[in-house]
Amino acid sequence: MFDYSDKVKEYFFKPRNAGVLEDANAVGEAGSLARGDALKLMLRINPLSEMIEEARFLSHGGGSMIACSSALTELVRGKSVDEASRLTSADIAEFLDGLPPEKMHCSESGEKALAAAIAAFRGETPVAPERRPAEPALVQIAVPPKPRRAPPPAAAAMAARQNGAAPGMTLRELIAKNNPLAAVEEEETGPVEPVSEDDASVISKIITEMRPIFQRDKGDIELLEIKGRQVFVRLSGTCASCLMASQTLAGVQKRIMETIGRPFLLIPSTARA
Amino acid sequence: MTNAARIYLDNNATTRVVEEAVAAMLPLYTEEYGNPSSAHAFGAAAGKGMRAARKAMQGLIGAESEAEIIFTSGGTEANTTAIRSALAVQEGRREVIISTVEHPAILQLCDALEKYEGVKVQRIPVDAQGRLEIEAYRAALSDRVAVVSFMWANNETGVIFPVEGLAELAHEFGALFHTDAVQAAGKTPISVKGTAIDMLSLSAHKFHGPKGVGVLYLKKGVAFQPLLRGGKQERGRRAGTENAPAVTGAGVAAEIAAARLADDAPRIAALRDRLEAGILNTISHCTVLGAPRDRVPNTLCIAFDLVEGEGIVMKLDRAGIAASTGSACASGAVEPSHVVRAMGVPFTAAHGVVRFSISRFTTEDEIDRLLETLPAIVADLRALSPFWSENGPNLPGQMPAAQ
Repeated sequence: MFDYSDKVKEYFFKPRNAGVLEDANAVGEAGSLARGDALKLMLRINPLSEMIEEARFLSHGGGSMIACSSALTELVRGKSVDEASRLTSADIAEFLDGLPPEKMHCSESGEKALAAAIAAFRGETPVAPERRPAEPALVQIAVPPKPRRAPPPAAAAMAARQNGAAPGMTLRELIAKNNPLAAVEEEETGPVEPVSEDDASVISKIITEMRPIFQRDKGDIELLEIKGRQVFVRLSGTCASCLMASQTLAGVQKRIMETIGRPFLLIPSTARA
Repeated sequence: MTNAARIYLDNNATTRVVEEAVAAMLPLYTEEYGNPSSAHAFGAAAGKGMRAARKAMQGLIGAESEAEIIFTSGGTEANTTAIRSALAVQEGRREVIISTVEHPAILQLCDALEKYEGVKVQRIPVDAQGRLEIEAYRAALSDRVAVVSFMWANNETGVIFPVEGLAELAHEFGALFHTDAVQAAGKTPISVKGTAIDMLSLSAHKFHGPKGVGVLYLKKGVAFQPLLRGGKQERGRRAGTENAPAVTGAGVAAEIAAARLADDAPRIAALRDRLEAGILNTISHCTVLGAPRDRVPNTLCIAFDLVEGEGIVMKLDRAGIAASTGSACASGAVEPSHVVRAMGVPFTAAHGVVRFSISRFTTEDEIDRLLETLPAIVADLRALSPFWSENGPNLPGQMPAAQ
């Protein structure tokens, strides 16, 4: 167990401002599930005064990650966007009376999420999360966002969220409802850019080549369709319920991305044979 | 939180020392404090406890002779001595075979042997249930291998390797066989007599003895080179004044562990199964790690999807319950342990691994208190997660595995 300060423990055990901010108009994310910690910062910024009126977070991680996320919301509340944009990871760590050296990345995630949220509010290109080729992050495998004008992405996200909640919604709609970021991608890409025939045949070939791996485990994988950068596949047999399938799928996705040299998102739909 | 109300479920890390052991140790600090090597009555008294301890260790692992027991400072020293000795006594053989899930005492020793001493190390993988890939082991064997070292039971998952058979395979190629039995002794029956196991490591504090005492079992007739030189202690096989009080206490603990094993193991297994079933029934999206039927009875390693193990352990600690995580922070990110990674646990679960390890002092009430506490802790952490919704996991498509 790490030797956390009392303040880190306090903010972990009783996090301030946890949960979804329904009327957020600036959302920033950092980290990824694959990395083991991730943060979603949601801000409500007064568009006239540019004051941060409300801040909430959702956070996946250990004690210090949750404490840093909570501390960040406390630090930015009541500040102007300009003031907030000058906050650094060191300020977050200092607010918590320090962090163990191995945990400094948690405060860095806070700084990145804040920068992303402010960029989203200002309609600038969000700061890309740090790129690690072998480890695509949540945001990284999405379509690279283009510079754009208003409305800010969170507004689109909100719209998507408010539309949701109907019974019988598809998985993708559910994702859109619960994950503003995913919704933003949908909204912003506009007309889906058609996949080139070359790319489609490469993807199809890779999936065909990797079928034996799935069949060896008494399952199967089948290409359904390619929409822009999204590759829909069907998993069947034991693969549909197998935990290992997600790893193998990741391998397929990685091969596609490495072969074509651009990000693609592999989306499985499961059907029992 | 009063002391009595605390619940200790981290017995694979270390255990409570049995009172009988403490009682045997104390006089050796203040009254019979002689050096066992000395020729006077003080020394003789210290030597007596050590002889009893040697006998007890022989009994615990079913060794043929008490002369096969070498006391060390712990499991790490025993492991290091075994591997280095095996290389030293077979000059023509410069390869070592281990598994990818060994304790760091073996892994990091072998990393260093590879890097600084030109030894070739072959690391045999495990399957998704933590079982050794036997075919890969067979393929790695040759007459260049000096020693094979596979753990008897894994410290994180409790998975047992079939070491007796693995040892016979090593002998077919003339290689020595060592097993790190630190997590097996006192939990599962061990009888080395008549097997092909040449060396075996123990650590007393894992079976209710004091810290700082280990054992290297060295089969009679197996060539040996000491790690520590400079005295005739342990028949010249391990120099340095013996830690007579701790060795004596370790002996008492070993005697009790051996005597109680037949009764303790089924009772502990029942508690573990109660805990396992209780968790699986009350908490969604969790997976037991390790082959269910090939585990020591006291260990439950469980992966909770979409939460981070450290958060669970911190909240349990606040509730007075001690457990441990299967991950540690390293190089700027939270890394699942080498065992979790070797088993290919999906990244959605790899960070949420928690280990509960039971001892003979664990009660059913304690298990039930944990079962009352844990579901809310996991639910609270999941409620904080951007990857969890009321409907369960909330993932933007598939993402790659933890590296």
